[in-house]
Amino acid sequence: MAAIEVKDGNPLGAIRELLRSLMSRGVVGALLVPEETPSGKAVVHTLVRDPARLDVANPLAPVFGVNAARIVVKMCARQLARSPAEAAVAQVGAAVAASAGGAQAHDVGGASAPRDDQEKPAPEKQPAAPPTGLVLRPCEIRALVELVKLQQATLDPFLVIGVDCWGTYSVKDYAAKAEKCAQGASVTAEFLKQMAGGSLPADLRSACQACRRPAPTFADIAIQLIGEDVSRKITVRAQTEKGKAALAAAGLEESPENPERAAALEKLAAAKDQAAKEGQFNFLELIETLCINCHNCREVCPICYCRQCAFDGPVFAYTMDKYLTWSGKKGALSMPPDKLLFHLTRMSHVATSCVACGQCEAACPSGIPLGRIYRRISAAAQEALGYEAGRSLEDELPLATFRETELAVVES
Amino acid sequence: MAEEFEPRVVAFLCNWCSYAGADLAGTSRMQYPPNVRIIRLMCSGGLDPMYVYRALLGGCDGVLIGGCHPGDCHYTNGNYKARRRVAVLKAILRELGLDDDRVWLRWISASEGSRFAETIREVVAHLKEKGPSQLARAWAV
Amino acid sequence: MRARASELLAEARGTLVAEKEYPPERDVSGEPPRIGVFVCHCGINIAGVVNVEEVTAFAKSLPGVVHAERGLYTCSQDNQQRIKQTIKDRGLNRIVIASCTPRTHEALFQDTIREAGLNPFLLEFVSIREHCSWVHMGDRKRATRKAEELVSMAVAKARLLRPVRRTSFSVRKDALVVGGGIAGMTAALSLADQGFKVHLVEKEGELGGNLRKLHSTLSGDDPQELLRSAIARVQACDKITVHLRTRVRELAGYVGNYKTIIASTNGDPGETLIEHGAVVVATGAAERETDEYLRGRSERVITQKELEAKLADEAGRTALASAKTVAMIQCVGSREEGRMYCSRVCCANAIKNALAIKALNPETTVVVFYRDVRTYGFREEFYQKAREQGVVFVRYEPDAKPKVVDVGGASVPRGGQSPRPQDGAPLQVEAFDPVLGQKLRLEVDWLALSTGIAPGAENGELAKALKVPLDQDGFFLEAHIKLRPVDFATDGVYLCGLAHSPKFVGEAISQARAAAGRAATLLARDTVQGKGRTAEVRERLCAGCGVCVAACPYDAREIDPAKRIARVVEVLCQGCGACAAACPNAATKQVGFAKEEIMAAVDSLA
Repeated sequence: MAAIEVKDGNPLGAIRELLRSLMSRGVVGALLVPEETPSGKAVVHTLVRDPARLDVANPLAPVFGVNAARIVVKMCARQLARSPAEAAVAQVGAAVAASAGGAQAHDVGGASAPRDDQEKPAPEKQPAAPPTGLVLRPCEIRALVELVKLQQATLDPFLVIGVDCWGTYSVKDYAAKAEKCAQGASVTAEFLKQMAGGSLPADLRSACQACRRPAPTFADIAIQLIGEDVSRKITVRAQTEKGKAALAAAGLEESPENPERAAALEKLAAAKDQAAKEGQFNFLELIETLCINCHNCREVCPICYCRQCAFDGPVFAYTMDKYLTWSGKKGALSMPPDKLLFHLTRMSHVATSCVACGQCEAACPSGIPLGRIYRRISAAAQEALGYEAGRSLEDELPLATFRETELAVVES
Repeated sequence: MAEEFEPRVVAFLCNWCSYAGADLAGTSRMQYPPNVRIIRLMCSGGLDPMYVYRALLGGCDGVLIGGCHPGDCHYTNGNYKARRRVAVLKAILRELGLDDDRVWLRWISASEGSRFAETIREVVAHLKEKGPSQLARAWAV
Repeated sequence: MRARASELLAEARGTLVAEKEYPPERDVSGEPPRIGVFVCHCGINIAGVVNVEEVTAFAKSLPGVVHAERGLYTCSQDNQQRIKQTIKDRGLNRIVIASCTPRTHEALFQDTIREAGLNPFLLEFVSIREHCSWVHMGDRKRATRKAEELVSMAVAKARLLRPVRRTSFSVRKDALVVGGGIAGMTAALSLADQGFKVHLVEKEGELGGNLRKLHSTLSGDDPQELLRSAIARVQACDKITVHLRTRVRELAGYVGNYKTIIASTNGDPGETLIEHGAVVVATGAAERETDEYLRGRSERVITQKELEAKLADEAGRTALASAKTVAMIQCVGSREEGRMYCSRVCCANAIKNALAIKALNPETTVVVFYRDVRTYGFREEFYQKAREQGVVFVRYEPDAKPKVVDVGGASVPRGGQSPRPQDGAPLQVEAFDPVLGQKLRLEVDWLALSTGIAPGAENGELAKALKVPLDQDGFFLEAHIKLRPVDFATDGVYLCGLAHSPKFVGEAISQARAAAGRAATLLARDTVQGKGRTAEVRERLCAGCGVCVAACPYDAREIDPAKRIARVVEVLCQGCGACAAACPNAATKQVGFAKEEIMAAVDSLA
């Protein structure tokens, strides 16, 4: 049976059906998926275990409150780190293996984890739990790819289900639109109709207006909408062995490739290029005038993974004396200090992995166009190093590698 | 009569090559303008971009980063890493309209005392012509 | 030479050494910074330009500075005494020296303050001579101002310095030599003579490497005799364990504490674990193969090594003696795009073989096509001799290489008897002679190609296992061409012979001795110390992202598999700071050059 059959012109219903199948057949044990809130005015990432609760799943809603990559990192935190007790057991295991004579050279100063066959046998191996499905937008997936490379997340316990994205509204705008919606209508349906008509709304989030990556760079299963008449058909493709196995286990068939997709993607990209209002901005003035040093941009950014930001750490913990000396030298010191430094430093830290999701701009209480600013600096940084954030798990992080002959232009 | 603008420059030099080159310039009594202040790092690969931003925001009109020639880094490949980091830093400054040509990355070996002196002269001349840095006079830091 | 001396003096090692005693280190952790600044006149070197009195007064005014004084020559004996006394009298716990360059004098002052009971890393040293008085001689006012700012930066940094512990690690006093050619054997013998046990690993079934194929030298020394005596000495030496048909399968550990697994090359199961303190890489190289100039398609086109083998062989000599013309082409596949380096030995080698052919039969015409003749040093005399004996040298340009045509079609059974000379010679070589200004066409019986020396095919694998680099040509890369020519940047690993670069036997032997000497400086010690100014991890802050692990050129960092945060292998850390620069939030600290210290220095300028 085909993975998706759109009935009664209801693409959302078809997607819900697919997700329900995956869950009820045990292909996934849980689903992280955007779900409508009871008020109907918002859509929030929800971790669903009960298939019945998928009735309000809505990955097609054009709204984007949190970059789900951050949520995945939180879910993985314990997966990657063990509790102190577990850590102690693992260490004993490794020590036993190391002292067990013979050619056990691996543990000496080496960087490898203790080999499975050397650890003490774990108590009764449990059957592997089914993966958790992640229903994600392309920029969330790209951020997740970067975070996997930064060892803040792992894809092992997950089945990534990527969904095409034309763009989203801000949380506030979506809520307002939902409020104004007539009975029986929905923001999602309106949006899909507009997309079918080929025109982009002028009030998409500015990050979305300039986005040229509406399709997931990576996914186990891809739900493809662009180039389709979604009221009749949606293409579902398995893009990895894991995805293939998942569809097979659910007794579902992949759709055939859509020959019109490539052209449709290009058309959309062209429309975005036109619509993108890059404009000029005066960075210094914007920060001086509007930035209140709240660090919200950092909080919502999926790439900012530090346990404690440098700016909250010892390097920037000043004594009273320091403040007075500093302001004495300058005559006057804007307070709190390190506003510009924060932004410039954060840019240097995230530029190579920034996926231009624009969450920073959405979170800024002063409305500084950070999304547009970060789009530009990250594009410039990534271009300089020949890298594209989130494109592939195989691409090495650009600052972790180098070529012997390159970037002569940087040398003065 | 307004005083002639004297740019303030900070130079981050790597211990094994460029700092040694600066020493050689001194031993050879090569004269250059007194605008530069040297901070020693063990390797150009140890340069945190934050140092450069802080220097620019803190009143420096220019920053010089000195490292070993590619292939000669005492720590094998620190200068290659520095080069990429500086590339990102300059791309950011450029996109923000903030004079990326105030940050100079130059390879100066331990035997190149004259190259060091010449570099300082060039940097100071360049900055004198360019004038004071916008970032250095920014109200916020 | 020094290695030779070490061999002779091995028994006396350490007997005249007196250990220096230092007073116990004062614990300054509870104290606020009490900085002492010592500004040097350096005679008139500094004081002639910089107003040292003003700088000293300025230093006194800086927060945290409780003592500032100037001295005529701060490094002099009596001034050192003063510093020590002042530390005690004034309870100083951070010292700033403003004088010449830390690159020469830091160690001296670190020792001085250690003698006064301070941790030696509580010292900050700034140059107001090389970087100030000597280079701004025409502007005293600004030079003085600059000196003040430099001192201010040093004080800002000094305020944040912490004592540094240096951990000691024991050293296993055995060595592993990889490669049993003349370089490997020489290194092994030298180390054994210096009293160390050596494991010598050779992938072939016999020792000797490329020396086995060397039959003559220009100097007249007999390489096969050298080979025999070296092998005999190695086999007779009870300190050397030879492992033939063996290769290094895995190597783990760090300087002073390596654990290596060696395995058989011919499929025999079973591995051996060797524990040792140092490694000498002597894996050699090989004559390069080529398919240029009909090599592989005509039996008459041979390499210089094959020519040398013929000259050493009765049948071969007969064949060559009856040849009318022998041609040689130099720089085959070398000094051109893809392989720019010169293999150093081929010119002398070709001339050696040319002279040997002439000795066999002075009537044989020998023509050498060359680009440059590089018979350096005393070998130039043999070049002279060759010309005097009538060897013809024809220069060619790389864009107009000689052309070789097989006209005789003389087919010779491989490995069979030597060919009978033909009336029509089997090969024709065409080349442009710049002296005559005309094209030459030669009919030759044998064409010998100098194809140069190619790096070992397995270098990449071994380099990875040892964590050492290769250069752009594929040979192993030394730590520094002048200052550390037989060391690798990785501590505890040394290099010699062809594995490093093409060279003559005598040069390989010298280099092997040097490598053994260097390895001995490590093995002679009971302990090695960490560098002190190494990297540290502030565990609470670390997110385990691994960018620091990727940044480290010495594999001195790893992610702790249990805690999922970074940790430093202290003995390997060289203190370069690459990890700290990569770390976004200073979870990794480069001791002595911490972010907060550098920022403080930058800020004091502002």
